[in-house]
Amino acid sequence: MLAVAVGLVGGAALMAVYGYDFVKAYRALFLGAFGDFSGFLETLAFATPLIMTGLTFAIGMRSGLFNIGAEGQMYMGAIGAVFVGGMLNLPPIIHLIFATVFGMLAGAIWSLPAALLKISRGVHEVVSTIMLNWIAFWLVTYLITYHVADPARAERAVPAQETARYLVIGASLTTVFILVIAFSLIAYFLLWRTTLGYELRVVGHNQEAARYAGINISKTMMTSFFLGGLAAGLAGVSQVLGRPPHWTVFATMGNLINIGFEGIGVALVGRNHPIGIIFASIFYGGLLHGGRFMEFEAGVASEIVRAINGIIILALAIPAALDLVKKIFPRKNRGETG
Amino acid sequence: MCMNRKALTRTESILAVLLVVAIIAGAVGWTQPGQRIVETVTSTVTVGGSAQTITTTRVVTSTVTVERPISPGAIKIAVVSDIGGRGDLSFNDMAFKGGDEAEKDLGVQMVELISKTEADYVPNLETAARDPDVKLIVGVGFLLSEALLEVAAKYPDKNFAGIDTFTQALAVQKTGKPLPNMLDIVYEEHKGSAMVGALGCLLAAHYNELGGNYPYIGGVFGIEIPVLWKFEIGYKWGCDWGLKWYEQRFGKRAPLIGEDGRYGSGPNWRDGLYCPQAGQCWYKGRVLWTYTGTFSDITKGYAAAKSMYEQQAIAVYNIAGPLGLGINQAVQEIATEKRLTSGPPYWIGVDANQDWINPGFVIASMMKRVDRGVYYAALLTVIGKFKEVVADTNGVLVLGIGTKVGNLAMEGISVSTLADLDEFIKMGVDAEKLTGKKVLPMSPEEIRQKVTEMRQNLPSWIWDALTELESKIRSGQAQVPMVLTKEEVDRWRELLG
Amino acid sequence: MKPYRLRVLWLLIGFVAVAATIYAMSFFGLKPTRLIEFALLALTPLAFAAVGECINEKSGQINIGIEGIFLISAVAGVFWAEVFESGLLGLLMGGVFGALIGGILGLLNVYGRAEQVIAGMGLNILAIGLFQYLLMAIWAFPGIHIFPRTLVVPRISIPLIGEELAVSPISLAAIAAAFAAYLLLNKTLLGIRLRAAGEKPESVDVAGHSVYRVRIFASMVGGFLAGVGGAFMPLGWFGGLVKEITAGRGFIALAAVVFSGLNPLTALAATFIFGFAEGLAFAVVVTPAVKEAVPFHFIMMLPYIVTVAVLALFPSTRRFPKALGKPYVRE
Repeated sequence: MLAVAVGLVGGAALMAVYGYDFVKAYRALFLGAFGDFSGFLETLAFATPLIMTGLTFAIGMRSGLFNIGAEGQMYMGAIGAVFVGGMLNLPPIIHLIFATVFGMLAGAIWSLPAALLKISRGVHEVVSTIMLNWIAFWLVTYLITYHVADPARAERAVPAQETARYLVIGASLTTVFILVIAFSLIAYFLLWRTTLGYELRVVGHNQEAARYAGINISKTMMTSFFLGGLAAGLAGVSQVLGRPPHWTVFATMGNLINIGFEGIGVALVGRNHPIGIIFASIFYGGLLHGGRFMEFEAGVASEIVRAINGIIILALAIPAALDLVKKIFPRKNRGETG
Repeated sequence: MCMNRKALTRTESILAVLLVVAIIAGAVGWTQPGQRIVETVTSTVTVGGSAQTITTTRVVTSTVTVERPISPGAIKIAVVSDIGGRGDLSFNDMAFKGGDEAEKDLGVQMVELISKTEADYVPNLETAARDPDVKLIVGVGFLLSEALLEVAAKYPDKNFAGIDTFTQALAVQKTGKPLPNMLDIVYEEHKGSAMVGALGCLLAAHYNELGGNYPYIGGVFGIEIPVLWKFEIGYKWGCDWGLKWYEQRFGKRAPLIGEDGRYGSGPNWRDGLYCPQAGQCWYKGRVLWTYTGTFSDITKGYAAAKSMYEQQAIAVYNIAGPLGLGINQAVQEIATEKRLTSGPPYWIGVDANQDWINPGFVIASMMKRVDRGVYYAALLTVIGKFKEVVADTNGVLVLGIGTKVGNLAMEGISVSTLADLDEFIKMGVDAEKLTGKKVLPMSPEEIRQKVTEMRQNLPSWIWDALTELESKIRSGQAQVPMVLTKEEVDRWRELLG
Repeated sequence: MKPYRLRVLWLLIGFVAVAATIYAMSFFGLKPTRLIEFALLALTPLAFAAVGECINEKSGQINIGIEGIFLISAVAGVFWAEVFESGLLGLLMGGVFGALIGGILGLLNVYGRAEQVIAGMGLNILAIGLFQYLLMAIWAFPGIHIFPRTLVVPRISIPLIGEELAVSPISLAAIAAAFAAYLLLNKTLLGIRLRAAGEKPESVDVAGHSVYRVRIFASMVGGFLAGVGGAFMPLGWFGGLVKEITAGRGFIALAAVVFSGLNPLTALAATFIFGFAEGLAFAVVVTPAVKEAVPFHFIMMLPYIVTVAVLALFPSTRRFPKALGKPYVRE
């Protein structure tokens, strides 16, 4: 919490340097993102996919893996949702469920190559997932432009049909949010209250000890990747089946790009814990949504808004920032340090 | 916690603090404005017979913050950009330029909202619409069409404009009639691309006459979206038109690029032309093209252009804003190698005037006057004629070659002229005055001189051809294909390569 | 097979692969020298950053803010190049700013006990916003900043197999830096200390040196190199600045670092392969014959698939320092 304050101060300093009224800016940011109900709903809408991609990374970290493949897995999840949600015709509730599950599985399947490479050839997952992210990017772009394009509007994929859309709450939020929260809670339960989760965490702490305890490392890693892929797939699904007014992916993939990476930041701030991730996502979603109010009401240039977001995140990285300050200015009451 | 002997010594901690202070001081130092400029502008604007005089005072102290005494009831216009925001060297920058000019001339205040993801469109538009002072909201980019539909319907007393959008088509689909407060401003970029395509292929013809070896022209595209298909097919069609014009004018095929057999062989090919049906022959395969998949990674622009120049393309059309810098680098390397001060090889700019970036090597730019579109929308709002124009045009304003609104010529697409060059040079000069730093690669006079020389060195028949094409487009004699669907693009790619 | 013979075998395979590629290229009408030129250009920023990060990570810290350093040093480099009217000095200043940022990160890591990965991400986001803003604020011209060609560090001509390559001296510097880093890490006392700080920081402490100083030093060196790499793009290559000039290449550098197991020479090779594959992809994709056959998306995927394939085919034990990413706290 203190770190947040430090970050805000840093942001204020930056704004002051360039001549902006930072009080007005921050007021605009927080009131816009959290102050009124519709703004809060928007914030939640922005937070939704972040919770999932954050979870992908967190599950990986808990099992000792640096899984940054959320981007690519999310793209696959989205295109999966487009396939079933847009191209197939099914009765109402079944359509939604099927599309969601298909999307999640698509994401999970995309995580498998990295998993297999790691298990069988020891390929470090950082590199393999980055590469897979890019491959997914090109593959999905290709599919959107040439195979699932909306015949009337070729710049986007076929939008999800009415029967495959989540219910809308407010302006941008949909009930997929509830599913996302549920998934997070299940993840929490899985990690801390089941044997499987326990094994996962042991492998994360100390592979040697896990091996001695008889835990099957390969199986655990596979599970970690798979779960992460499901989460990222759900993130992709949420941006297609859960995003009015478009309900689809555009060839530019604007709604998807970077959410995987932002998820990493969110996961770290949430200390790789599902509940922490939920709160961190909501906070970050607030920054994302509130930024426009800073722009609009205080005239802060949008680039500076992004810079401020960066400073806040940077500050969140420092648990002992206050200690640092104390170290520099203690001389009066602490005596000299040699 | 124990005392750390090896912790920060006093010297080190002082250094650390100094470091942080230095960085902040440096940051501040960077942005010291050159001077404080006070401008009072009085402008008279005439539209359709009624004249209005507007006086504004601006105080510019830094390059980004602008103070203005805000009179109560001042009109605000909001410009909501597409993803990417400012700095794309074309689209969004032109829109903000238009807004700036509206500020200067009309006394409105522009507020900007930059979208980071598609999810930002509706919230941005709504935030703007909710403000009581905002009278006009401009959405820049066709991706905002749906968002505009939703928000414009919700706020019927505000004016909405969209650049490249097709909101009215959606409205008609949904409700059977267009929205009364929404103006889609669309451009005919396929026509402009056709003109530079003709220019490129005729350039090749000319230089081949002189003994050069240029069998291709090139096009480097950004992300493959239907808007870019318009550019792509227009460009290729233009090349074909240019070469056919050459045949007619000179009674023979253009050297190399018009007659060589390298472009294809097989049943439908006849003497270097592709004739799938009797009497219908096309100059297929003269254009090297690729989509880079990005509007920002200039290394890809460089790599693509370099390959094209390797294969002896004489000019490369940049349809990806900032990638022009990458293309320029490819040209520059050849220039350094062969000690050239002017092309060939050339490249062709897009959206904004990019001729000044490397004078003598940019043969022309295909200008899409998004700035005029935004300016015009603001103008209509200020004089209160916005809804009238919407009603007159059914909500869709087409700005292209030879387009008019009422009896006002309102061109939206053009091949860059020297006058356009001057406009952008002036922007550079203003920036230099404000910051005290050099922005233009050489002095304005030198830029003008080099560009003029480059154009004058070309034979007049090239410019004649372009003038003829332009007038044929205006009159409707020449129909440049406007490609919007996958089938159409496949069909034209089949014919043209 | 004995390790020595294995290595020779791989070298032979590599040689054959390269020869086959060159033959295939001439079949398509592509010139290998051009591709090598492009690969050298593309690898310069990546190699600098990767080598720097190897040093940094050997000392036990992770800096994923390389993209951020690229951006800031690009702007700083151009700014100071204009002030001093020298491209080289601009590059140097870019490096200096990179070192400053590295220093701050080092301080944060060591004294603030920062979560290094978050700090890096925060830096990236901060830099992206700041970069775009500064581009407009310093030069007041939207979108692009061109500076006189005299500020760009010129290329020199190097003969290779009968043809002349135009190579930037900065690229050569990058290659030299990789070798220097390798020597530093493996053959000098400082290198041993650095690596010890990463493997078992206590040992450094016991030996009487400050872990903190070593780590901050490593962070600054890494930052300096990344800074030079970032400034290279405008000052050694493109002659101008545009928004997103780096376009995510900082992350490719990170991939190279991990790929190489923190070996600067392998990282150099990785960046070369990547640059080469990218150039090849574009050369191929523009050729009309290929266009009809294969949608260009798949060709664009090639560099990444190649990298994964190489990884999968040539696994080797890559160890990362035990204390990587963990702040050191003395008891």
